[in-house]
Amino acid sequence: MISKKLVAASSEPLVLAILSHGESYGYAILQRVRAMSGGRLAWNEGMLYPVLHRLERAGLIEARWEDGGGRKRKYYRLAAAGERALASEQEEWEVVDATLRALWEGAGA
Amino acid sequence: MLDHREELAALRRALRCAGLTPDQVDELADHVEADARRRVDSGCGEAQALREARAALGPVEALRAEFQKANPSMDLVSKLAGLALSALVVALAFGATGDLWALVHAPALLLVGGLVAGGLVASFGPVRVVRALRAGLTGRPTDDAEVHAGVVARGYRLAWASGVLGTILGAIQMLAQLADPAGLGPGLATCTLSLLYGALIAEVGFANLRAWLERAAVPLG
Repeated sequence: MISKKLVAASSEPLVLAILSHGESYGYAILQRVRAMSGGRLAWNEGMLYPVLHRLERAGLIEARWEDGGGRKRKYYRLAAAGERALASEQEEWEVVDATLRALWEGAGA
Repeated sequence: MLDHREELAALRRALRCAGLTPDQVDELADHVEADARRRVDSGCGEAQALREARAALGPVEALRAEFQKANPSMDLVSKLAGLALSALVVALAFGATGDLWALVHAPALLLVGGLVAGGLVASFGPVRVVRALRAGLTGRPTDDAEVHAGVVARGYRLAWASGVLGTILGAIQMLAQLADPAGLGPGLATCTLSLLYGALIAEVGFANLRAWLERAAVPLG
């Protein structure tokens, strides 16, 4: 299992990355994260929705309500600012990833 | 279709009581319903599917804490805006018919404010008083909820008592000036405005703090 700290740190880039593939809603995002991580990134439902709302307020994602089957569902999509934020996040995570890989490979050599 | 509407309705009620916005309530209820549907599709009974989906959402207190963490200032801003609106309404209502400055009377303000602050500090100490006020304004659940409720309840009573005390002192001041009608003004101002300040501090200040603390301490789930 991934530690809580890392789960929290990676939550925003993960949400942005999932939404970069198209519009989605909270439950589907959660399922996608679980499936993509093989169940090792066990997101707490209580954590996802505040993250979505925070990103929405920051203007990185946009939301719309859709009525269907007698209930309302909130769909999120990436905003232009979100695309820029995702690119920036991607660069940062790649630096961290490359640094750690170099260190671990060096330590193993 | 899921038929256990009452469970979802109970969840919505709990989320609303926790202070979540209608949009947040709708979204979380939709989440539970979607999760329950998936469990039903996997062969789970409806009632059990809803129970499991509800349990997966976690305690309502934790949800509220996460939402507050994500947006800590909003709650405080809306509370302060509400208080400011109350003050504005009083000011506008009085300003339309009289001199607004007539509502400001330093001796009465000092008397009531001083008695309330002094009484609270004497009873609970400055640290507890400040913590209770902060807990009420931020709405965050605390470990000291009982003490904070005590501080606010005492503040409410002290505010009314100080207002009445100010009225009595103002009346005594007036009685001492009966021979000189021109000197009745300050006593009359203390008399009436002390009661006004006491009522405002009690009903707008401490009554709201009490409501906010109660909302923060509602046992949910």
